[in-house]
Amino acid sequence: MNFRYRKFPLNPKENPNFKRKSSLRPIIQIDFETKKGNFSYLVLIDSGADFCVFHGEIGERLGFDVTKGDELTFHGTSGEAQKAYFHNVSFKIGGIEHKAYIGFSYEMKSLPYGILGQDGFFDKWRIRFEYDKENIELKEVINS
Amino acid sequence: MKARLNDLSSKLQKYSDEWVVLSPNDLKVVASGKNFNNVMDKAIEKGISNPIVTRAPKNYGAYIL
Repeated sequence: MNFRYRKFPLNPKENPNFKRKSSLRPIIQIDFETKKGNFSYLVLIDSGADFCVFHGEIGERLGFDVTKGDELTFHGTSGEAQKAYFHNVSFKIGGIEHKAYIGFSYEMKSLPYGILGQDGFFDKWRIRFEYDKENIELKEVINS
Repeated sequence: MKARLNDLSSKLQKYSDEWVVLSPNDLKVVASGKNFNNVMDKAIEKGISNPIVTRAPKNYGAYIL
């Protein structure tokens, strides 16, 4: 299945040396079904991330007692330690059911979307990034 | 000119440090605010089914993850 890259804002005041007002990123929509109603969430496909991490509030909406999950300390480029709490989560990608062990963190307020990383996403999908076509192709890995 | 649906740059630019909920059909902003559950409930009250949620950071910058 194919998804379009999405354009997110870039604040030109923060980056006066760069003329760009937006940035094209491999961000897709994932779909949750909950007792409070269905909703979707935007997530970045990030090959540099070891795990999948979503905002803590998403976990709460899914009914998890977020901080009761298995704790992981992870690091971004600043090296600052952040905490995530892992739970088994189900969601759909393009209508296909997907189950993964997902971390939820309350320390990613500066990030507009969740992260799909190696464990829980890249191990289950083959991904072709076509930046020039603004297209992302996903194929489910079928384990025989 | 019709805006492209995958282009969220102008729609999200004015939001800062809050949750933003988009309509699934046209990606228009239907609710925003600091409290996640309040924002989601506000969108549902407006009759939006399957809303799409994202977070506006304090300042939209460049990312190197």
